Amino acid sequence: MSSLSRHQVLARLLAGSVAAMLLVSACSGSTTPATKAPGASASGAPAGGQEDPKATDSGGKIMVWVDAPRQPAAEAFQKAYPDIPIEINAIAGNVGSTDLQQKFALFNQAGSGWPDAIFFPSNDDIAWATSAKINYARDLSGILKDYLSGYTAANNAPCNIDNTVRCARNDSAPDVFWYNAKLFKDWGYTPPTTWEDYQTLGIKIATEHPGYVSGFLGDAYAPDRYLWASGCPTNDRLSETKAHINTSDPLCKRVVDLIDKMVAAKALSPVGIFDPNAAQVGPKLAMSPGAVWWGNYLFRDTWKIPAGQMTATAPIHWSSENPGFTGDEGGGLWGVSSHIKGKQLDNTLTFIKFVTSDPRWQVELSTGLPAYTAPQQAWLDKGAKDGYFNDYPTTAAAMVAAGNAVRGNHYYMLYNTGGIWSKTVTPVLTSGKDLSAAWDAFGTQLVNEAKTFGYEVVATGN
Amino acid sequence: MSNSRKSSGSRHAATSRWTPSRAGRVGTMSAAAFIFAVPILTFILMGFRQENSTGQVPGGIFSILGLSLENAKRNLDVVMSYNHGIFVTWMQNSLIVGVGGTLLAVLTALPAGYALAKLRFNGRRVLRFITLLTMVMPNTVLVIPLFLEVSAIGGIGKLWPVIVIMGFYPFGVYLSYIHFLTTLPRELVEAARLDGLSEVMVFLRIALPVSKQAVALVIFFSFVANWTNYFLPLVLLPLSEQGTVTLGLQQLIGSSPLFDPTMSAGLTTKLYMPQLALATTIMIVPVLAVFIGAQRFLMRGAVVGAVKG
Repeated sequence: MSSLSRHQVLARLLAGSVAAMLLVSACSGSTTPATKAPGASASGAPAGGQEDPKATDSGGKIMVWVDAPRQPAAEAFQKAYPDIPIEINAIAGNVGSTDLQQKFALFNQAGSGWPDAIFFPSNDDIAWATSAKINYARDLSGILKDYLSGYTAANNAPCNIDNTVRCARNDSAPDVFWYNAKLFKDWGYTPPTTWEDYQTLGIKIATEHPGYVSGFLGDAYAPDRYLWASGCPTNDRLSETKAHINTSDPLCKRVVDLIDKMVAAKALSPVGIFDPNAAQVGPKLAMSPGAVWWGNYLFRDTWKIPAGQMTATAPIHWSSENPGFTGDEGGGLWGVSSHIKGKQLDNTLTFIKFVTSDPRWQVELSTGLPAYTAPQQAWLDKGAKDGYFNDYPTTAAAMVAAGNAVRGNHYYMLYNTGGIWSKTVTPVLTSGKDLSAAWDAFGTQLVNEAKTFGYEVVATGN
Repeated sequence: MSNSRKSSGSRHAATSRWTPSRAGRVGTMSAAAFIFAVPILTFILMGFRQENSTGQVPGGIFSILGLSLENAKRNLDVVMSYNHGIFVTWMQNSLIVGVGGTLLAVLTALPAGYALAKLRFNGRRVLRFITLLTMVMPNTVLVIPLFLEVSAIGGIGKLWPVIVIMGFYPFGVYLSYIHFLTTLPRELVEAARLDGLSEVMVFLRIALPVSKQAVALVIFFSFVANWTNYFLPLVLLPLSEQGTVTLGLQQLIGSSPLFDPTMSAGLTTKLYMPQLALATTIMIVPVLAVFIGAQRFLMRGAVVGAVKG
């Protein structure tokens, strides 16, 4: 120290101070005020989707954020309501991306910037959008009470969080039971009604008609198709910070055993429905549980299975359960900001009603079965004219009925179960092993990721 | 003359002789060049192919079959049809912040570098230390404070705050500092001062005219840094139409059935590998143009500081 000049000492002190200031300012963004009220979000708004006390009113102009497939919905609204000024912002639809969440965290810090309505690119987004930290999605149960009664309970179930309704469902994506009616007629089979029959017939088809498959396991929706339908507790949200995960549950074991037996008989393909080589395996699909959107998107448009062959029937169920339950593969969600009020809120709610139920979007443009009950029949009537399915009346009835048979106690979480399945299960199945060989790794990874996101994981649901 | 020719010829024969060592060097370098060049070339050529599916590209991605300008034009039309031609807006925004930030960086970095190198004032060492400190500090560290500051002045979603922050370019200051320190003789500056020139005039009349390489280096590195900057626009420009092409490219990828097949059913504009490759190639063009323009200075500038002037 004694060898340093006065200037050098001052210079070093100043440099150290500047470095410390930069570090402190960099870290300050993640801190929350010590005086924050209990139950309040990071933005200062009350948690639980209640209106932000600092909510603002633009006087009418609204800003909506949509992904590319939902852009026509916003543009149809613009055309239908030319008197409501609207700004449409396109967002990327990357499942698993945290960009959107980070933007909302910054908006909370700044106290502005949130869109008035948003189509969540991934259904899992509803988990962070309703968290106490972000608290973006408004509770619609009060302000849209009458309108929300137009949904069946099951069709808007993903939005029911802690006795509030935090979003409105765009489309319904329950699993029906698809089968190739032409093949079944040629082979003399009847479609199964239970999972046990499905296993037996699947193995029989694989034995008698090698090359034909009865399902796909390699995509991120596979756990929704099989585990969700069976009631395996992977996504059981007990509270915002507590999750019930137990892959040793008998409801998991029964479906793992079923899959193992069908994999051993080569009745199930390890390929994912979106894989490039699914185009070769797809036309060899004899039967499978699958979402309502499989019909047009997979069978007709992607795999080019000829018209008059595929048809859907009611979801299969476990013989011990009556009535039975099914899984669900997607079906997008719309959220409304808790930071707006007045005319801006009114116009946003008009927008939400339009995109969830108006035939100008839901029937004329949307490819998915409307989740809202009113436009469903018109959408089904439009499909009837297409003449693609073998037995359209049965297919249409199955689609509507399946929407009300989706199993409860399954929520969208901060962790992505489908992504964990793709990482831990799909490679093992592709290597020729059965599901049991990957099951422990899947369960461990599921629990680890849940804990990473701050959940307390418990093995029982009570 | 004949001796000279003979000497030149023997030298030529010596250099063109393929010794095992030379063949090894050339072979290794060719292999390395091949490994780096093939992916880049096939990626650029992908924009001239036509493949509208999520399936594997016929012939594999390294195939050169099926290339045509018509395909490139069709692919360009598809890119331009995405969200009513927003790709053009992204390119314009990138040019505005890229050029604006670069001009600001040149205007500030050169005088700052000169001052650090040639002027004696209190706090010079501290300033030099802070310059080095900010150079090594990752962009992400400052994002939250910057966002809050820009938000406080109502600048979120506007291009000018991005330009101002990009104009703050400590690497350019350090580059200029090294340049002036090593290539501008102290005697020249002192002579100019003795002739009565003010410090500003010494910089403008003496230092700047002999600093073309430094200017070119700051322009090139600053423009490339601004053009490829992803995190700053991501945070400060939240809306799609305000975004730069780096953000836009990510949006194009996120809207492609290749990366999220579940979306493909509802898409009116479907972007596959050739369209994404073409958009990326177009994005590279301005950087290439600046590189070619600055190349002459860059080659000389690469030895800045090696020899005192």
